[in-house]
Amino acid sequence: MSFGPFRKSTVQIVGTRRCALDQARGRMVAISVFFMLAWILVSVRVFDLTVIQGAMARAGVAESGGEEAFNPEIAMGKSLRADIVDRNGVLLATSLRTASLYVDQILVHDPAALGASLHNVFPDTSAKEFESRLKGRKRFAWVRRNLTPDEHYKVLELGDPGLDFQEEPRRIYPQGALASHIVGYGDVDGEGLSGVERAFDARLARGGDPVRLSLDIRIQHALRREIQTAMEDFTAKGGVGVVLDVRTGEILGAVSLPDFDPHRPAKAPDNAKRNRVSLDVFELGSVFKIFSTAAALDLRDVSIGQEFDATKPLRRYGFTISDYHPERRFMTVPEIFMHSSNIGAALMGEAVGTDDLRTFYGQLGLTSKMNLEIAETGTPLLPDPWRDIHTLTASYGYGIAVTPLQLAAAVSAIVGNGVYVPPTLLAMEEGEKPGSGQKIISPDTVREMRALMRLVVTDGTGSNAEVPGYRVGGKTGTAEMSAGGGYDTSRLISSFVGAFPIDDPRYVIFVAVEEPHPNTHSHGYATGGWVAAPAVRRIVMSMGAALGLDVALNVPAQDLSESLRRYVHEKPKASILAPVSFTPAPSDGPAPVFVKGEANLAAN
Amino acid sequence: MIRLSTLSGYGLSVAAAAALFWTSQTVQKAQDRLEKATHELARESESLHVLRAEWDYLNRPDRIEMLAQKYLGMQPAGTGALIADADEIPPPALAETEFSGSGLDAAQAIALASIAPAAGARR
Repeated sequence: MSFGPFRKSTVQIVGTRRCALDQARGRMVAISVFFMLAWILVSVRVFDLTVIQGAMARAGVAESGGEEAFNPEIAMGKSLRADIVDRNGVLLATSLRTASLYVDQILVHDPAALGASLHNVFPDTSAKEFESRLKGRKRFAWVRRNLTPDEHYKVLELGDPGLDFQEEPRRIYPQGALASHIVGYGDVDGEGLSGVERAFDARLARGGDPVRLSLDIRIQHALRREIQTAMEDFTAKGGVGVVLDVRTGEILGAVSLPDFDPHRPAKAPDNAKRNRVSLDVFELGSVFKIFSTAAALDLRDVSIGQEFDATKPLRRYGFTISDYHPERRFMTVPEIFMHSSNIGAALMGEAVGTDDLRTFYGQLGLTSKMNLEIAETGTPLLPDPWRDIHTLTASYGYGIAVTPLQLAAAVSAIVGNGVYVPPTLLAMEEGEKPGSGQKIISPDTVREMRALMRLVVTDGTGSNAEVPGYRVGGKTGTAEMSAGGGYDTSRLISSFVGAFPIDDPRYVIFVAVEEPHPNTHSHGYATGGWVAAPAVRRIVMSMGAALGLDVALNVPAQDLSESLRRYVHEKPKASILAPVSFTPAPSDGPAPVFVKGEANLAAN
Repeated sequence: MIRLSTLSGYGLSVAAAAALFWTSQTVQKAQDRLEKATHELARESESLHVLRAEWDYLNRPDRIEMLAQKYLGMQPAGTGALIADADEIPPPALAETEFSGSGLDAAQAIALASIAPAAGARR
């Protein structure tokens, strides 16, 4: 005998009633089975939820098992805006997650009191200002964005139910103002507004691998430090500097001073935000003699020993061109170059002719807007129309205004191998070839120009740029700034463009200082040779140490300038290359481990 | 009577249910572990990211320069202190010890003098 619902009835019913009873029993069995299964399911699930998953929750395993879709990409920070790094991978810009504070205004009971306590956390915003943000009927209003972890903690401590946080990425510039004009900055929503941040906005917004710039933060720092020193020494208004790799066109340093904190661009004055390196154009004066001299040597049969009449100021087309330090004699090309004679340069420009000089400047990229990665690129100001008198003035750098970066690139083409290499802000990948243009000048002219630039440093106006062992060559420039149709003799822009090692230049450095004033050490001068050349010397020294460049002994007889010395007719003055007797290092101060004087090195 | 086949059918289904339950639990546990690990990874990489930003911030060239000036008293090496070839460094001057003129080279003489201070002091 069996019991339960499956027990067969012993009562025998026959006829139509029997059929109905069987049917009822079958249904009851089915319903019972259904409920039993349901109970089993429910109890299994209850067991699962309470005993098994409960135990796991206690063990902390399932702590993060939320319902929302888990996206490892977001969690891993891959969705953040991409970093910007220098050529060695040092961070210039990165995005960090920060907490931003918002308020549910309905939940705030006492806006005045809460505003006062928020003011204690953020002293730079008044309690009144906070109160106005807390008052109202809005369920969501920003109170303050991108809190620091410390501020976050302090607001949590207030424990107000109306305040809550939302995670937001924040753009951080670890190097601060150091490369602010190149790296640029963005708005509070992370959109790039200037510099690389703007130029590569779409690429950066996608995230992923960092954008690697050509800048070297060590060179950038040395450049900025020395321009700043020069500005302070000569109480100047502004400064600008570029370091270019001659072979690749990579911009290793680009400084525009004054600069600004990219975290607070709104607080910076417009003057500080101006990119003087690639956007502003300047009439740079005598440094242009590099180009007119190269044009004369290369395009015309001007030999290096040819003499030009600089006995008296040059009168042409109703204008008078005179020299800053008149020599009042016939001068050879090296003499014109080292004494920076405007008359001589104008005569050479005249020999080249308007059309050819203009074409030549065009090939050097001086007559059209530069094609650079960032949008802050300036268009040169050219004489319009370009008359013959402008050819003369453009030969010594007046009447034509270019950006400092354009000048550095053009000099780089002259001293490099005579080919214009377009500057770039992106680091070259291993094995990548720089874009190269047509040959502008012959190897002979390149060699002569290197020698001329070396002569300026060994015997001419640029002697303050000499670094024993690195063989710097260059050209000084001192230009008066244009003011209302004329030139203001009291407002100068003093510059120096250097290349080293001059025998086969690797680097071109350009430094210009805006409106320097003479100081007690400069003998009343605020010229390129006194203001910018020493800065270039100190930059070269820093670069040598940072990059581990080889020091080559100065051998006067082998110096590049030696070949030109026979064209220099004047009483010999002490060349900086003359061997100096060895003087022992002063005994006071910390004793260096190993002392070998520069003079001793030169005498070897 | 329940037939043997029915009984074994019940048994099998119970076993299958148990196996399914066990499998699903294992999968769930594994999933939780994975999620936890990914979260941890994300947290770690996030803090790495923050630390890296802080590292580069603390290694700003101007700060290093300032600290070096303050604590180390070091100065940038001029080109006079740099030479291309290490062999150019002259040997240190021979110390005035009783080992002078003994045929030893300078380095040996200095080394000997430093390990024999008593001998040096006699002079």
